[in-house]
Amino acid sequence: MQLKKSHAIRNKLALASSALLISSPAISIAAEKTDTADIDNVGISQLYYSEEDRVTVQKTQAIITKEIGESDILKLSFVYDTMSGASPNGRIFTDTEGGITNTTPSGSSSSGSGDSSDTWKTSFEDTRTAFNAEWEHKFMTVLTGVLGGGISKENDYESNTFSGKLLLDINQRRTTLMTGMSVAFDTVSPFGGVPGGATVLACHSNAVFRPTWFDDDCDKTENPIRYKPGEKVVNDYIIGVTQVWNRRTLMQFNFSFSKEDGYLSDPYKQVSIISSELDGEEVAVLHEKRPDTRNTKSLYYKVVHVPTDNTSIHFSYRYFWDDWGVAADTVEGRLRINLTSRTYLQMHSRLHFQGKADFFQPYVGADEKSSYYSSARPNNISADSRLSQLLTATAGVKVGVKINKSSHISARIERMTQRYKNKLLPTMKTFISQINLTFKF
Amino acid sequence: MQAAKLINKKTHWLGTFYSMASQCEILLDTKDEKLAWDALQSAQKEAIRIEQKYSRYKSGNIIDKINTANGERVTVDEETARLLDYAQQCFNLSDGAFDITSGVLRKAWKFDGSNNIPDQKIISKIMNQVGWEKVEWKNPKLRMLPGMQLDFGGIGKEYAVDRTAAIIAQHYTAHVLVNFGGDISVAGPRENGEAWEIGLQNPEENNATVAKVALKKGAVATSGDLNRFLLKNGKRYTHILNPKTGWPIKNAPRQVTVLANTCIDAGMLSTFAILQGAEAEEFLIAQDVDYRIIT
Amino acid sequence: MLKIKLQKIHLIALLATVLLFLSGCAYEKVKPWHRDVLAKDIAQLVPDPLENESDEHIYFSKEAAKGGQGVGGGGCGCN
Repeated sequence: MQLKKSHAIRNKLALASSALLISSPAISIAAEKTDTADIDNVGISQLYYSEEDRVTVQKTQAIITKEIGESDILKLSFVYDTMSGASPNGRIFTDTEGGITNTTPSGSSSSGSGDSSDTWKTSFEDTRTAFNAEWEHKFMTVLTGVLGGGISKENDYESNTFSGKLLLDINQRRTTLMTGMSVAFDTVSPFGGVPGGATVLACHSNAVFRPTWFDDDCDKTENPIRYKPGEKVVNDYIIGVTQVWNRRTLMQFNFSFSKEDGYLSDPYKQVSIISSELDGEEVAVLHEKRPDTRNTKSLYYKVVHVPTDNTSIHFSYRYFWDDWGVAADTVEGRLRINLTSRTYLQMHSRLHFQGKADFFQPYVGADEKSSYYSSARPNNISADSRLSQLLTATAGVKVGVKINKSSHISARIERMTQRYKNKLLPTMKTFISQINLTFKF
Repeated sequence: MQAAKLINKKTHWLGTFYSMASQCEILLDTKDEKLAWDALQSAQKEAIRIEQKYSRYKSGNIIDKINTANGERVTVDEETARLLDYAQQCFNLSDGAFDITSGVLRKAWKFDGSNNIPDQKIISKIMNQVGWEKVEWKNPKLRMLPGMQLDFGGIGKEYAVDRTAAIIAQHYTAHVLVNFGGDISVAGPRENGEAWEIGLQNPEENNATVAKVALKKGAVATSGDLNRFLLKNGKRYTHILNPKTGWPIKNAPRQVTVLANTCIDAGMLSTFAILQGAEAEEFLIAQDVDYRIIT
Repeated sequence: MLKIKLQKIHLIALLATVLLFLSGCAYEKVKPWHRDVLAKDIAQLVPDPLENESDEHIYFSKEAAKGGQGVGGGGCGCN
């Protein structure tokens, strides 16, 4: 190739490039816009939950998140779970007549074993299907609104929920203010309708040892009073603030309160009436009764701290209290460590200390010498262990792997135990395992 | 888009991000941290805009439309039209040595340091789709033979450097140095009026700084084959191909660095020099530019 | 009576931990370009929504306490 040996080329090139670079570039100040591809994703999860000698649950869940346009995100969630096994129903001793048939969630019978120290269990098989949708809209860079709705259906329970949330960023986006509310309309419809609260379920032949306020009711046990389906409305409210504390620390403070109205009892839970004169034999059985209203409040604090670029600590504390007399502290911690750029290990621990509800009793005493004696029919009564003084302890481990740029898989296994103050209840031991797969589309 | 990083270097701000397969740096001399951050964001935005618009790997952009047009006419936007005009000028000024249609030759040549020299028959076949003279370019419409491809790789990065420097100088501060993987543009001196010091490295001497250049305004660009070549029978084949034969330029220098007013000028001059092969240095002397050369 | 006292002790102990942490971990007015660390996956308040939802449901059905993080989960026959 022959080139003229002069400046000619250089000058002509300079001319050509000034023509190329001619326009004065306009700019738009960058708002941090995430790539659409970063948001759209599908998450699928399979959970296996198993209580020793009690209930087993398998749950399949899928969540689809899709960005629509520049300011909207739609999230759809679908859950399918199946429960089977037997759950303690609050009764304590075998009755002398060897078993009473009564309705259960799936319409099958309940039974207890022959040992007097054993608990009665209600066995069932139930499936639940739930669908949830959430629409998030960005009004401005700093203001986001979320609207949600959901339906959940089981053999004997239906719940319809509506929710709304507003989030506002202030303080150079270091602080996020949040407020939200939701309302749920639930219908409980066990086979035969929900029982009247604290009404008699069964009386035994040793009935002469019953409490006096019980006498008349025993004649009616052939056809226990049943109502139509029970209805319940739950209103939840929350306000919270999320604060960037420093470059490596984030915190959240929430205050929530909730009001429940309607049928709040569990139609399958029962309470034994025990006579001390018969050395602790059961003389009759009541349906449980919880109050018609419940007001709950909670304070929640969470902190995330990232000490190195590959480790993070999550810590949360919740203090809960309500007008049923329950007060609870829940403490939870997670430690996450990135083992490589693609894999992480996470350790999890949770402790929940709970005080009992005012109307919780392990049973009702039939005579003055019994513990838990009641001289009149109790207004509210429940022997449901979940309302008693207890301690739940959970420990677990989780491993996650980033398969490629847009998908990752994780699996966890956890051990949960629940111990009760009431010595009559054995410790509940549970294994939980879950696998999650998330991929972008 | 990965987050850009802003680091306080005491004498200046160093903003970094990754784009166009390079570590991109913006050096700003200002006391205003927020200004530095905003400038960095604009720089990153512009670099990624150009990268995505002219990337061979992204479907749906103008390059993809052009390369899959299959003989049909394509209408291009104003910016692409300017780039095509420029590429055409360079083709003419170099007597055909610089040709943005020569990218398809990568199908034959894989410069991985091995001795896989392709067969002449393959090269000849691909050469049917090489040659700017086969392109019909009448602003704003472009038409090529089916199978032909355009590749802005030889211009893209230097163009992005110049655009970014102009944006920052116009909207933020002129005391800025833009460096995209070694292609540099200086919009103005440091705040105290002193020049920015730029070190030129020789990768063959373990990246030792072999020369220093002080710029108050201007650009530096480098062309070379230090990492991409083939070696057979002791003969070195550079990855810079002669679009008229389909074979590598003979006796090309290893690396040429040129200083000019704009990065695109500097880049094109260094490319032209390498295309001269053995006569690279003579060319540079004749053009009366400041240069460094490694043969 | 004892029960209530115990709960208050928990509350105080935990508040003390929080305050200790807050004071040990200084507040800093973080600039937007220093949000890199908190934008990572491991720093998210809820890093895994699938796991979070499952846990919320499990503990809702096994304990008397509920909520704290949000609203609108919906009910179930499990409690």
